[in-house]
Amino acid sequence: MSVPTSVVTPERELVCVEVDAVDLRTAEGEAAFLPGHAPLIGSVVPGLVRLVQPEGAEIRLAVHGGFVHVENDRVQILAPVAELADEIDLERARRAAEVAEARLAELRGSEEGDPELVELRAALRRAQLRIEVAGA
Amino acid sequence: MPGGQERVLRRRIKSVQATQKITRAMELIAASQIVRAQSRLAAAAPYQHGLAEVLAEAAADVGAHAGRLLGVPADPRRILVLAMVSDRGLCGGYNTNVLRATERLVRAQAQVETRLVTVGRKAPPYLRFRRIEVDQSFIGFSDRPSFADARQVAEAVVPLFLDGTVDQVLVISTRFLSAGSQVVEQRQLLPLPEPGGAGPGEGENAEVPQPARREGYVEFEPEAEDLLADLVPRYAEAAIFGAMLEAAASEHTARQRAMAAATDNADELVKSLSRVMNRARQDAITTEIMEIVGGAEALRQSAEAQ
Repeated sequence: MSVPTSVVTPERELVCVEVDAVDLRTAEGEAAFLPGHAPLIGSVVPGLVRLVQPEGAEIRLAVHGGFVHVENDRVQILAPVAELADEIDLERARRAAEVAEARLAELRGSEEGDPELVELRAALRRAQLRIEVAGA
Repeated sequence: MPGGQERVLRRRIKSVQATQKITRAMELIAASQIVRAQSRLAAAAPYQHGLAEVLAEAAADVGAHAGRLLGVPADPRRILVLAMVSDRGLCGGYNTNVLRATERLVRAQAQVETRLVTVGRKAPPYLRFRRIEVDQSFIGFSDRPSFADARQVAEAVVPLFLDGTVDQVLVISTRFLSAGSQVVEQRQLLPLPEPGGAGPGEGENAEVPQPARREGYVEFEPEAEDLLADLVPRYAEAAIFGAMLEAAASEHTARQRAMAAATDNADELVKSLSRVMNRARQDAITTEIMEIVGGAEALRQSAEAQ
């Protein structure tokens, strides 16, 4: 048994495959969707999404937020930004993480509400997620 | 001086032909851009459609608890208008149509507070000249918007709605209905259109899939109300992106059409100028022959007289 699953971003449909299971994190915690799952709409926490294919192969993606919609035996992940593991530029992500970390260290002690701080933390999280997904 | 008029005309024909080369090149470029813009528009449809489905389910579950996030505000006091035009001209009435509609809307809302955000280099000069204040404008990506661009615009607009600074956000842009038909349309971006309601539809979602009546059947993680709060900014940025893509496709179509007309006009101008020039040349030749004949005749007569 497999379930048709697609990962859709605003600019294109990233993948559309038959899978045995979808692993991701929603607002309520880790979730795995197997064929026959009850209809569900959840918001996806930025993280690794794994699509396990029938032959045992798996597709890994970095998904930066969005929603998952399970319905009529079909899983759709709607993400504003998502990347396939093979398409991630690991070098660039590492550099981005370093830059963000360095700048954060400089800003240590500055007030919490600083928009630059918020922006940097988000950038760092994005870079770390990319490294985690691509680096395995 | 014979030939003077001919030279002037020849120069004008050359200049018209040079302009024609430019307009033809622009026509061809625009034509190729239309194809690309259309495919980008098609590629964006699944995401918008997916979000519209999620919205429909969430809205059905939340019902009347959605508050000011859904529906049409009865009495909006503060409105934000987002107008989308192009960065460059030479596209016929494309920019003017949108800007005129924007001007009309802002003037009609004189009794409510309006803010204006624009996309496209052509918007601020037009509006400022007419003493309409532009609060923020975005330039540089109208012909090829990326999602990151749309997000940037959304960040300037959506928070104002969420924190209650404005009650309603309207978008004025050109809808790309088909290759042959684009129309200027004003529609409500926020609050989100009530799915299935008679409210103004957004893009593809005018025919939002009606969720079957089955409340409590779909699980929500988190609760539908919290999810809706998450969904509003995502949906709005997707809708802005969709509108920007449609506007870009319309811009290229308008430019292609305008440049095709200009190329045709140049053709006609060259034809009629050539006709005038040929007549001038023939006149000049006739005059010259007459002069030669007259001169020869005079010589002969003076020779005979001797």
